[in-house]
Amino acid sequence: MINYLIRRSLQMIVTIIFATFAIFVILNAVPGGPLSGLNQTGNTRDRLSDEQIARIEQALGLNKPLPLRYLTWVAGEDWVDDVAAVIGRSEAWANYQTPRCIDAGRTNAGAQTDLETSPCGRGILRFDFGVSWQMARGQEVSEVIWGRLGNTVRLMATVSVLSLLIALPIGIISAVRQYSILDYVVTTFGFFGLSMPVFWLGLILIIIFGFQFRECFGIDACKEAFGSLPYFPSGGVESSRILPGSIQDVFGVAKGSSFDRIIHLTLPTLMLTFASLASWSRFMRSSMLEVLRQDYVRTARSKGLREYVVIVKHAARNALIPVITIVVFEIPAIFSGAVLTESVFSYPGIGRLFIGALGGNDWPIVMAILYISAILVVFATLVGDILYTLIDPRIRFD
Amino acid sequence: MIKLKKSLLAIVGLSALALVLSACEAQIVEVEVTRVVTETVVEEVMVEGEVVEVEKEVEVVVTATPEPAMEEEAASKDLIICMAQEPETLYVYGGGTLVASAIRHAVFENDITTLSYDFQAQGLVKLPSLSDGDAVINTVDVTEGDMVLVGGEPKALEVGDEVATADGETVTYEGGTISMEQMVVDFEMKPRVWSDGTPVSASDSVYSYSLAADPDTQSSKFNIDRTASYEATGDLTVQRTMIPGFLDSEYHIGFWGPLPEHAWGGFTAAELIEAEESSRMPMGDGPFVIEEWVPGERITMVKNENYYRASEGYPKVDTVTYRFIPDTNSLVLQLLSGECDIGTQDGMDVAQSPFLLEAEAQGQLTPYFQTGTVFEHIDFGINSYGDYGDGIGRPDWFEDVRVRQAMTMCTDRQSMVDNILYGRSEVIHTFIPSVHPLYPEGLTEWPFDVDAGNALLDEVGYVDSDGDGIREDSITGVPFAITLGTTTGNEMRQQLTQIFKDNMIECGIDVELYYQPAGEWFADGPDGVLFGRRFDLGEFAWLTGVNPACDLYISENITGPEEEGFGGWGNASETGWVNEEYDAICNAALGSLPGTPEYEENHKEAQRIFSQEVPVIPLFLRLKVAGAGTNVKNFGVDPTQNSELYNLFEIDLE
Amino acid sequence: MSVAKINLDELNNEALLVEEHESMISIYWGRLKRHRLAFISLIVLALIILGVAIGPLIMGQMTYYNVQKDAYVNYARDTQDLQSKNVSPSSDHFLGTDELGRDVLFRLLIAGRLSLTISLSVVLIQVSIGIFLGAVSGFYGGWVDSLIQRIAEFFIILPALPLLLTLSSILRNVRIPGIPPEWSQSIFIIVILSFLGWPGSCRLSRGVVLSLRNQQFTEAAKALGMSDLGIITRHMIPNALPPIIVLATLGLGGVILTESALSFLGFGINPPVATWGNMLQNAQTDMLTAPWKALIPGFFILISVLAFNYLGDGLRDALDPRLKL
Repeated sequence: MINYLIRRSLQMIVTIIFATFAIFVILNAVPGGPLSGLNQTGNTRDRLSDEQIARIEQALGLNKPLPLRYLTWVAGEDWVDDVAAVIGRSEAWANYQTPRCIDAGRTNAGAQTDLETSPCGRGILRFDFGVSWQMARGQEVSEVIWGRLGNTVRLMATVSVLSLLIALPIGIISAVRQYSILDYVVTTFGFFGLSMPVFWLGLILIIIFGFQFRECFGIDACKEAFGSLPYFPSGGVESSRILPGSIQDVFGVAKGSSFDRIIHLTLPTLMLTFASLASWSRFMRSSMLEVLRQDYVRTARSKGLREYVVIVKHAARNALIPVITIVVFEIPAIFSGAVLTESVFSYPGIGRLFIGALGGNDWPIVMAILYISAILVVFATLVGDILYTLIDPRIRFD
Repeated sequence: MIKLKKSLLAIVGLSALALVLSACEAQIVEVEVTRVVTETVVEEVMVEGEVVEVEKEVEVVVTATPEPAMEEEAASKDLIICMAQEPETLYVYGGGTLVASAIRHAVFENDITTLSYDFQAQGLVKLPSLSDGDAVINTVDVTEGDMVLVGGEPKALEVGDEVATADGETVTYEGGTISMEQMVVDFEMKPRVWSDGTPVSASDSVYSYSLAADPDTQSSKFNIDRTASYEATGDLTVQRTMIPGFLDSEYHIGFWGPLPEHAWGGFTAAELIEAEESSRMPMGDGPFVIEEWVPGERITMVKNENYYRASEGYPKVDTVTYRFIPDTNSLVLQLLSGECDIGTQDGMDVAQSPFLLEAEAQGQLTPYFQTGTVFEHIDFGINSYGDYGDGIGRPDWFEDVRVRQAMTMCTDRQSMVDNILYGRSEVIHTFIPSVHPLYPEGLTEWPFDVDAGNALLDEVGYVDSDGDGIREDSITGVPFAITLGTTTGNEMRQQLTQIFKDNMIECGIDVELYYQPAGEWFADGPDGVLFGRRFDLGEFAWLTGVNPACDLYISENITGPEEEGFGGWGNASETGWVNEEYDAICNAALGSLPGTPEYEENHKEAQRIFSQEVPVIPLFLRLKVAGAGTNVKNFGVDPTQNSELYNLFEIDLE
Repeated sequence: MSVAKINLDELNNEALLVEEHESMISIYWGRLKRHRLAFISLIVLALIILGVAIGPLIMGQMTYYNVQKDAYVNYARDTQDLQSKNVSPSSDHFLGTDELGRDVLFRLLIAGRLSLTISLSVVLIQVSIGIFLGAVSGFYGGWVDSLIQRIAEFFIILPALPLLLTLSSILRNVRIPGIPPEWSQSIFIIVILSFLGWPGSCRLSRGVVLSLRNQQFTEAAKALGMSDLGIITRHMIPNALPPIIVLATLGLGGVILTESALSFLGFGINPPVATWGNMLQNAQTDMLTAPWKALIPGFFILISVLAFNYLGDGLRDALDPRLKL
């Protein structure tokens, strides 16, 4: 087991290196890129000279050959001059550090220890993801991500917990009552969520709960009686003002309070939960069906135990075990968020940050997000595998 | 002018509009006892179901007997502005996106505004002019080694250089002393105040100049290189001396907006790009002060108590919140519900016009539709680069001007305007709108005339000989089948290209459409399709400014490697069109000073040639669409001022 | 009788579950029919496929009055009619027209062809790759297994979006001669989605093969000198098929959704070629004024994905009730 873990961990590292390098190459292969278009202005006054463009290139570290660029992303740039000296390329590599690093004597020594003030990049191995090129120009990538992480984790964790809480009972019921009306109804409900384009569902939710509720669906009688139904905000994280007739107004929630934030989370949570219900409940259903066929369930029944006890105490418990191992695989998603949902609901999370960074050629942010999620995916796989062995001793690793 | 391309604009931030224009957006203040402000208010009036735009000139006399303090208000006035994009930085020399300038209007005073196709002083006392004497052209003696303008470029004078002397002759420098013309311009700021109470001084403007000149500042050095000195001549006055021989056609706006040296002085130019103090929470002299920036969510600002016009009651509201709502539908709904007071142009879409008009009719909001100087156009790949086009079996379709003219006549541009822009814009025939002061008489305005177009194509010799509805080249027999590319994800462009495709079928031309992500589509050559000159037809837009952008089409600006005599990859003219007469006239226009007859006549003549030669099919002016709650006062969208929030200090809520 | 002379085919029949082909299929069929919704879905899917296959052909024989052209125009020409754009359903246009006055029904059917073809091709390719690599991986174990599994992990980590973006820019202008441009355009989407999607079926088939590897019939086959490839293709893969058929059916719906999501983000197949995804995306700006425009393509996506999911669910119950997917 220990051997296995060590071997797997080493393999994981190799996989991550390959994957990040592949992403690095892909980003660089796209026509365009961060330097393109610097000079696409018709006005001669707006032109940058070639020297200026070269300086920008150097500041972004794009003047280096690709493998070296990747290495500095991983390990930082403060060693570049030393290595160059050792291999006798000092001259050729003279510009391979950023101007800021060169000005500081090509070293971080003497500088304060915090990232922001160290003149040379330290590389991801030393927890420096660099600075953003575009989304928040000049800001530390780690801070940019940290700023969005809370929103994404709140959303995704709520969704995960909520969908498990709903999906598991549904799965149990539809296994116990296979092919009953109830099975069909809950299955259908889950499948609808699974089968809808997420952004489409989101827009429909916004129009119904945000727009039509306020307009009372255009029904005059409703308007006269209530003015408007308590409607939901159509996006964002918190209100900038409390509107009369809105759900916050009805419940007397103050703007910016945590209740306000919860109300803003409601629609996206609803939607994502709806969309992920089916996969969980189907998994639980299968697991449950398998357990129900086992001998010990039959034994329990034959002992005259009440059906409820058999199902909850014996069957469901055992059926849950494989489900738990699968839950682990949700961890990466909690970090990387939901691109489409965040876009539709104008929710500032990691998913939207990623899409924005991709479109804006903000490679440090793209790389950082991919790197972190890659680690999480690999880690989750490993944990999942280990959990399997713990649960099912028949599985051996060799 | 900057090429308009949504996501690239973002990237362009690196280069920034560092030059003068962005300096205008920066800052400066005014304090005057009495002033007359002329505002152009565009109103929409419903006349028998038709929407008519009415322009009103309103003269407002502002007296400085300020209403004694402001009347006690029960509640604070909170203005909420919703925009789609979040600015990448607020540092003036760090990025020039539209949204960044929209927010800088709150933090920094505008030195100069560019309303209605002209320049106005706002934070400056006045714009200098040669006729008023605050800009003068002196005669100076220069000797070898002095920086002068030689052939349009600044360089140290050497023997053998051809220079223009003070007498207006072009001579070859043979050593010794010769006299040349030198321009000196004086600017005077109004007595503005930084938000911490420190007065803005002329040295802050000089500091700004020195930052712009720093090699670590990623902005164009065009003006810097042509400036001999930029010095404070008093507490509020600066003097800019150009290098001999450089007669700047934009001398009256060549001012560097002041930056707070007392707060930023400790940073180097490289550090300012990243520093919190300059890029996220800059100190300014504008009507508002940033209180908080929640990334991805909002920026909140409070009234600047030290605003130099506070005694006049400005700004009108107590707090401003900018919220970022990338989804257009969401933004409109929030505008409708009253959660947003203003929706800016980057977040609104002309496709929503029917909904906006309906909401307006119900008194829920006021939409603004304004044509600006952004124009959409379809460009011909007249001379492609390398082996594309001419060399690989495709006949040189567009070399013959009659083909370009015919295709222009085959394009139903009015139908594009009617269907895509709901009739709220206009077809254009040159690179400036018809309301521009320099729009010439005698311009060739091609009508929509399919028959004439077809006749012209027949005349050229492209006829449909095999009866499949598509013309062929008479010699090679190659069918007239071409491609048209543009950016992906832009509904307006998708629709217009599809209409164009339909139009061309009527003229026997088969057009295949393709769409690329903006970053790719606008990528520099040789990788990029458009600017690598590897296309048949390409659709995109240019954002031009107050001055007509004839230099977009001069042959020196053709994209391509400099070694091969082109203007460098990343240059502007991607059609490859060469017309010596046009080049000469446009260059003459660019080299003359505004207000002179040469300036006006050459700019007009350039457009006449352009409209006759049609190197591109100008389609229509793009619409700036914005919206505001019915209780928002003094809000308006201007054709030439890029951001509609330029007058944030006077925007009020009822 | 020497060992070598044993008829391998006979052995196959004995050793495998597939021995009674006919009867197994009828058992599966019977089980599938018990899952009523799955059965209905099968019919719905058959109708949709029939509709997109034949519908455009029928409409190609019909004309309608095009106001802009002032003439009767064949539906199949997909002509614009700017004089009657965004009209609601009428006898000329059963599902109304879009923002350029084109017939929505015709475009929906044509789009369905493309969406379904893309979906089917992607699933077919990824399952073929996955099932084979999975079987090899499980059969050989050791470093082969490790290598294939790490490659699978590598593909899971790779982000689909930047890959699509990059490859689309490289392949965008490549035209495959002899086929219409829209198909040529879809091919890169098919290729990329397939290459990103195979690890799922790979893991599944590996799991099945792992459990079969040490069973007696495998050893018997080996002893009889059957080649590894023979064992994999004739013994392992047939056994791994049932769960993978289930996975593939569920995957069919997933690909349709992915295509629409790509269109939403602007990376899908470009207009004027219609897919359900880009029709939905186009209607997005009209969501407030004409929500029904978005409802129609959305409904088609929903129905077909739903049907695929039900069918997959039914197949699971029929083929392999213990399968957890």
